[in-house]
Amino acid sequence: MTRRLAYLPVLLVTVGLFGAGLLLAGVQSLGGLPVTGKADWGVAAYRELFSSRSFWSALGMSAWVAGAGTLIAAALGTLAALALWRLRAGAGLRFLFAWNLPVPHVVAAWVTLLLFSQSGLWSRLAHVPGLSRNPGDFPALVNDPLALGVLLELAWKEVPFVGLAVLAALARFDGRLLEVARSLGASRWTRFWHVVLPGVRPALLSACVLVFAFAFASFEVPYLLGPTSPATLPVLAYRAFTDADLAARQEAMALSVVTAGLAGLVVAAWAFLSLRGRERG
Amino acid sequence: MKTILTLTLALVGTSLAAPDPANWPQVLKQARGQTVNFYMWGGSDNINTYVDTVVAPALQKLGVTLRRVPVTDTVQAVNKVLGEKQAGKNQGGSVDLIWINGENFRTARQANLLLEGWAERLPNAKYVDWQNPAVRNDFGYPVNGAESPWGSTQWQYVYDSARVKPEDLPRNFRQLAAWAKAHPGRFTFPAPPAFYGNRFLRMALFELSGGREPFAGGFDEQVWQARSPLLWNYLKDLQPNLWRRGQTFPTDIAQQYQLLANGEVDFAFVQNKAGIAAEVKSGQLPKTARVYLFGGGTIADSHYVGIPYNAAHQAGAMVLANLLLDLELQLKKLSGDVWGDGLAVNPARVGKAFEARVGQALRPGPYTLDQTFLAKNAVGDVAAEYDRQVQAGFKERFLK
Repeated sequence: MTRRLAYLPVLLVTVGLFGAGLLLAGVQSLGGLPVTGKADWGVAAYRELFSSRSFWSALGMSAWVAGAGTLIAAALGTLAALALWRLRAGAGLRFLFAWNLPVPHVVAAWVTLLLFSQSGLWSRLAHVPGLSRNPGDFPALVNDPLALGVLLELAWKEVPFVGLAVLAALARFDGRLLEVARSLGASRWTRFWHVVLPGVRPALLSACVLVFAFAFASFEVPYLLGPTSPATLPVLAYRAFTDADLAARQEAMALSVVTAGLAGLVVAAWAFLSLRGRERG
Repeated sequence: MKTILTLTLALVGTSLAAPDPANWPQVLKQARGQTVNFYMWGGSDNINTYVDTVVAPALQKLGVTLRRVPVTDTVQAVNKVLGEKQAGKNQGGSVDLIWINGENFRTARQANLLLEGWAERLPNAKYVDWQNPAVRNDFGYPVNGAESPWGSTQWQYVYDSARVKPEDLPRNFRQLAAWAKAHPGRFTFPAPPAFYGNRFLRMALFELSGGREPFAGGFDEQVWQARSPLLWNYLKDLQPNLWRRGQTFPTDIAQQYQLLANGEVDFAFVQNKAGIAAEVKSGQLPKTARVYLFGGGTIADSHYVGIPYNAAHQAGAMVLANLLLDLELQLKKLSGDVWGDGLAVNPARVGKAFEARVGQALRPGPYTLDQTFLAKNAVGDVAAEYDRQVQAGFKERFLK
C-alpha cells in the first residue's frame, strides 16, 4: 500500500496536467468554450473530421510512421542488444551505444535535415567525386512521400532505447538455459526464437508500446522531416489550431482528442494483455 | 467609509481604463519600468536583429524594456490572447504588443481581442497618411485605430542570375508555367498557410482572372465561384513541374531561401522595399541573387502592431508602438543594411530634408529596385475572405 502511495505525486501531475488539458480539449471539440459567441454543443467537429479525406490519410501516415518506426527500432534494437550481450560489453561500449538517448527529438530532427536533405552534408559529399551533378540527383530522404526521413530519425533515437530495455532483460537471463538447449541439439535460430526471445519479450513489448505511442503522437519530427501531405495527425491538429479562422479550433481539438485516444488505446491494450499474461503465468 | 469606497472605485477605475495617448507625458510615466512582451514573427534573422539592436536600445532609453517573443505564425500570439480570454483573464494578459496584419487582424477583431482607438492619437501618428487606403484598410478591413502601422511592403520576385538569364525570366504566370515545364523541379513556393504562399497564389488568381478589379470591394461568392477554378487548373498543370513534383513544399520563406542558396531551386520572393539587400548582406542569399517584378504589377500593403485588450503593459506597448514610428528608426529600418522594410510614415508629411534622406537610403542597385518603378507597379490587396478561400482550396486539392 505504501509502495503504491509513492506513485501518488506522479499520478497527480499526470492526471492534473495532462488529464485537465485533455478534458479542456474534449470540451472545446464538442463546442463548449467557444472562441466567439455562445456555446453550441454537438459532435459536428467529429462528424466533419471522419468524413474528411485529409483525416484518413493523416491517420494512415501516423500509423505508417509509428508502425514502421517501431518495427525498425524493435528489430535493430534487439539485434544490437544481443550483440552487446554476447560481447559482454562493458560500460564504455554501452555508453557509446546509448549516448544519444538524452538528445531531444527536435535536435535529432534538425541533424537529420542537415545530413540527409538534398542539399545536406551527404549530398554535398556525393557531389565531390561526381556521384551527383546537382542537389536534385540525390535521393529525396527528407520531406519525402514515404516519410523516410522521419523513420531515419526515429531509428536513430529509438534503437538504443529498445536496445537498453532488452539488454536489461538479458542481464537477468539465465545463460544456462542456452547450454541446455544447445546440448539438446537446438539450432542457433531455434535457441534465439524459443529460448532468448521469450525471456526478453515483456521488456521488448513494453519498449515497443512506448515507441509506438510516442511516434504516433509525435509532432516535431514529422513537422520538420515529413512531407507537406499527407501530414500526420498531430501536424494536422497543429495546422488547424494555428488556422486564422477561429472555427477551425474545434476541429483541432477533435483531432487532438482522437490522436490521444488512439495512442491511449494502444497502451491500454498492452496493459490489459500483459496483466492477463501475468495472471496466467 | 463612503470615501474609502469611492477612493477604491476610483483606483480600480483608473487601473482598468486604458492609458490615454492624448496625455502622452502620463503614458510615458506609466510605461517607465515596464517590460513589453512584443510577440512577432521570428522567422527572419534580419528583422530580429533590427528589433534587438535598434529598437530595444532606443526603448531602453525611455525606461522601458523590450522582450521579443518570437512566434512562427502570428496566429500563435492571437491564440494566446484568445486562450486568456476564454479563461476569463481580462487583465494582466501576457501579450503586450503583436506584429499583425491581414486575416489575423480580422480574426482578432472578430473575437474583440484588440484595444481600439489609440493608434491615431500616438504622437508620431501625425506622420502617418491615415487617408491612404493602403493604411486605412488592412486586407480590405478598416483598421479603426486598433492597429498602428509599422511598415509597408511590396512583393518582388527573386532569382539567381548565376543560373537564370535575365532574358529568360518569366514575367507573368503563363510564362512561369512554361519556364517550369522547361526546367522541371526548379520552382516552388511556401505552402499556404505560410504568408508568402498565400500571397503568391492570390496574385496568380488575380492575373489568371484578367486583373484584380473583380476582387476589389469585399468578398463576392459569385466572383469566387467563377474565377477560382482558373487558379486550381493552373496549379494542377504546374504541380508536376514543381520542386519534388509538388508533393511537398517549403514550410516558410526561410526554407525557400535555403533552397535557392543551396541551388535546389532558382526562384524565391521578397517583400522588402529594399529588395534583398539585407538578405545578401547577411549571407542568406548569394551575391548573384537579383530582384525583379512581373509585368502585371504586384501586391503592396502595410503591416501593423496591435495591443491586446487585456495586455498587462498597455502604456509600455503604446510607447513602443510610437517608437516604431520614430523617424530615425523608420529610416534605419528602410535601409537595406539590416532589414529594408518600407516606411509606415509618409515622407511628404515630414519635410524635404527627410524626403532626401529616404531617397539616399533606397538607392536602386542589383538588390534594390527603383522605388518609383515599384510604386508604379503596385496593386492593393483584397478582402481577407479571399485569402481564407485560397488557403482552404489549396489544402483540399493539393495537400491530400
